[in-house]
Amino acid sequence: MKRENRFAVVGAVLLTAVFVWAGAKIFLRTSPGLDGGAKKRLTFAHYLVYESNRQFFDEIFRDYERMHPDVSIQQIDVPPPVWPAWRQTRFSGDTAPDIIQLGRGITDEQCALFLRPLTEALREPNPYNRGTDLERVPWRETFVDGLDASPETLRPQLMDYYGVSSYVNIERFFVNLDLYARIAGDAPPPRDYDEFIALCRRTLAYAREHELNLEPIAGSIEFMRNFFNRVAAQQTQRIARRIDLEGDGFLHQRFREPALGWLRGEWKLDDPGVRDACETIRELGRYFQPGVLSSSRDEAGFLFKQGQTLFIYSGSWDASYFMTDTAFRVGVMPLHLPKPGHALGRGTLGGITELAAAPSGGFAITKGSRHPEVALDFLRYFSSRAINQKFANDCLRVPVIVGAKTPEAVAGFALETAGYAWGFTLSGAEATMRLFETSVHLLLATTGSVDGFLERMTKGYGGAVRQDLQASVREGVRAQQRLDAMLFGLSQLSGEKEHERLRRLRENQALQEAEIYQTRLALAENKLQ
Amino acid sequence: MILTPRQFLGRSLVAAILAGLPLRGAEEAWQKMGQFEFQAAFDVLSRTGKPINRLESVGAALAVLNRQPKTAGNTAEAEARLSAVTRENARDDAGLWARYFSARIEQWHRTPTQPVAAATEYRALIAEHPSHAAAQQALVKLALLSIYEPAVEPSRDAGLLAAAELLTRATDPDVAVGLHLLLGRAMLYFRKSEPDALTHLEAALRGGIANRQTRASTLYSSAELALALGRRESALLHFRTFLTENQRDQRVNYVREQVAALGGGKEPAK
Repeated sequence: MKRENRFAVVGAVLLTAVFVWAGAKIFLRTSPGLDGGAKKRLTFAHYLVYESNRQFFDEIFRDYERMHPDVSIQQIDVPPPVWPAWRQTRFSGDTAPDIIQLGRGITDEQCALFLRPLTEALREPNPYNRGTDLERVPWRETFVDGLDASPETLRPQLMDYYGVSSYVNIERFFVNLDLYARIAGDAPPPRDYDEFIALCRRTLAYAREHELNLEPIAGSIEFMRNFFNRVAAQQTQRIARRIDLEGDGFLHQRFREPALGWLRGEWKLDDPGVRDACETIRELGRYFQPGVLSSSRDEAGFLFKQGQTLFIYSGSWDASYFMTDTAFRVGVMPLHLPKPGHALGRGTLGGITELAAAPSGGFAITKGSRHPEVALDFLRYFSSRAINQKFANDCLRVPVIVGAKTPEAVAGFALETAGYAWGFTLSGAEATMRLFETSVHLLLATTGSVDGFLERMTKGYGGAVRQDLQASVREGVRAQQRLDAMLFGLSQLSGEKEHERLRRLRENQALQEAEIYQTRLALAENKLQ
Repeated sequence: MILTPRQFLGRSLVAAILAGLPLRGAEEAWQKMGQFEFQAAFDVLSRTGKPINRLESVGAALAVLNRQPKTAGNTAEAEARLSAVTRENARDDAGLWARYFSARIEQWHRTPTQPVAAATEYRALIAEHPSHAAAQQALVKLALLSIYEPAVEPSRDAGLLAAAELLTRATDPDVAVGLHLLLGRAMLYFRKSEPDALTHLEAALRGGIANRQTRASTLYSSAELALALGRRESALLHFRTFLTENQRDQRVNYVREQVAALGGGKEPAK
C-alpha cells in the first residue's frame, strides 16, 4: 500500500471511530433529568442576581433536598438585561429549565405554548402550610391578591394561572441616613412635596458650603421611567375620571382609554393636570445627578453607595443591595408629590394607593420539565408561608403570603393603603413611549422648558397615539383569532373546570371584541387628528 | 451512564411498544388547541388511524386556520374543510358549528374582513336553530356587529336597538349576561341613555357575571350611574357589595367615601 493510501485508510478509520464514539455518546448519554441514574434533577432559572438571593435559593434548595433525598436542584441565574432573549432561546430550543421566573415581557403565547397551567393545583391546600391557619386554605387564596392581580400569575386572555408570585415591588427613595443627619440634623423626614424640595435645596447648599461633590438624588434610565410614570399617574387622576369609558373608576389598560380619550378630544396635553405633572418632573429633575437619562442602574447605585447623593430613586427590589454592606445607615422614604390644594396639584385626587399593588416574582413550571410533579411540589414549598417569610427576611423583600410580615428593616416598604386609583402616563405603548423618551430631556435640561416639551410632544402625539392604537387592534385581532379555536377545544372537553373556564373566556372575549371595535371606530372617526 | 445489552434491549422494546400505541385521540387534540398548539392538535387529529368524526373535522379546520405561519392558503384550506362539513349536513351539531366558524372567518380572518357576510350567516343560524349553542354564541357576535360595524348597521341607535332585540332570543343565561354587558358598556361608550345603561348592567349583575374583575367594574359603574340618576339606595347597595367583595382594589378608598357620603356609615377598614 502506498504511503498516501495508508494515511487515507488511517484517516478514514479514525473518522469512523470518532463518529461511532460520538454516536454512542449521544445514544447512551445520561438523561439530563437523572443524576447518576437515581436523583431527579430540577433546574430553577431566575434573574434575581443579588448575592442574598442566590444564597437564599441555595439554602432552600439544600433544605428541600434533605427532605427529599431523591431530588437535586440547581439554580441558573441570568442577568436581567439578557433574560428575555435567554428565555426565548431556551423555549425555542426545547432546553427550558424545569422552573422559570416570569415577568419581563412574557406573552400569552409563550405561556400557552411553553408553561404548564397551575390552575388545578392551586385549588388544593398547600401541604407545606400544614400546622398553620392556612392549612386548609386553597393554595391560591394563601397569596395576598389571590393571584388575580398580576399577569405573572393569571393571564386574563387565557383564564389560566401559570405562576405563583413571591414578592411585591414597591417604589421608594433610599436615603443615606448618616448624610441626612449631617445635612438636616434631627429634623423629621419630609412629610410632603414642599418639604422634600426644601431638603433637596438644603442638600445643594450643604454641598456648596462643604465643597462636596454631592447631588440630592441619584437615578438611572431604567427607573426614571417608573418615576415619570408615577408623577404622571398621580397628576392625571382627575382626567382619568373624565375619560373612563366603562365608568368604573379605573383605567384597566392604562393606555387604551387615555388614547381613545385623546382621539375623542376629551383631554389635551395642555390640560392643567398634564402641565402640573410636567412642572413637577422638571422641578424634581433639577435635583437628580447630571446626565441621569444616560446613567445605568449600576452607575446610579455606585453614586449612592459612594455617598455622592442623599437619595436614590429605586424600590424594594434593590433593598438588599442598598441596605446591606453599605458604609452608612440606609433608610426608606416615599416619593411625595403635590396634593390637592398645592399649586401643582390641580390634576390629582390625592395620593396613589398601593393597596392593589400587583405582586411580582412569579415562577412557573415549563412543559419541558422532566419532573413536573417534583417541580410542583417544590413550588408549593417555595410559596409556603414559612419560606416566603424567610425570603422576605433574608433578601429584604415584601412578602406575598397571607400572614407573612414585611421585615422591620424594610418597614418603609409597607404598602400605602390610603389614596386613589392610578391616572395614566403619557407613554402607554411603544410609539408614545418613543416620543416621550426622545422629548423628556427638554423637561430635565436647564435650557429646556415645560412649554418646549409640550410643544414637541403635541406635534407628534396624535400620530404616536394612532400608531399605538393600530398596533393594539392588530394584536387584539390576533388574540381573537386564536381564542376561537381554544374555546372550541375547551367546549369539547366535558369537565366542570373546563366549563367554568369556558364561561369566563367567552365573557371576556365579547368584551375584548367590543374594545377592538371601539378602537377601530375611534380611529376611523378621527382621521384628521 | 453505560447501558448493559439487556438494559439496551429492554429500553428499545419499551420505546417500540410506546411508539406503536394508539394516541389518546381527540381529547388530546382539544387540549392542545386550548394551549395554542395548533399544528400539534392537527397532527393528533390526522394520526388517529381512523376516520375522524364531524366535530373533529371542525376542530381540524380550526387548527389549520391558526397554525403558523398564518397564511391565506391556510385560511382557504380551513374554509374548504368547514364547507365540506356543512355540505354533508348543515343542520347537525358539527354542521352548525362549521357555519358559525365560517362566519367567524368572515368577521376576523378574512382580509379585508366581511362583516356583512358574517352577520348574514349569524342571522341564518339564529333563525334556523335558535337554541343551539352555536346560534347562542352567534347572538353575541351579531350584537357586536350591529352596534359597532357601520357596514352592518349604519345608524348607531338602530344598531343598539337591534342588539337589544337579540336579548329575546337568548336562551343561554351566560349569553344573556354577555349581551347585557355589551349593551350597557356600549351605551356608556357612546354616551347614550344612562337609565338604559344602568338597566343592562344591573341585569348582567343579576344574571351572574363569571369574571370577578368584570363583576367589580360592573358594580362600580352601576353605583355611579345610579348615583347620577338620583337612585341613592341602589347606589349604596352596589357600592357596599363592591366593598364586601373587593377589599384589595385601587377603588376601595373612593368607594368607602361614597358609602359614607350616602349615609351608609363608615366602612371598617380591613
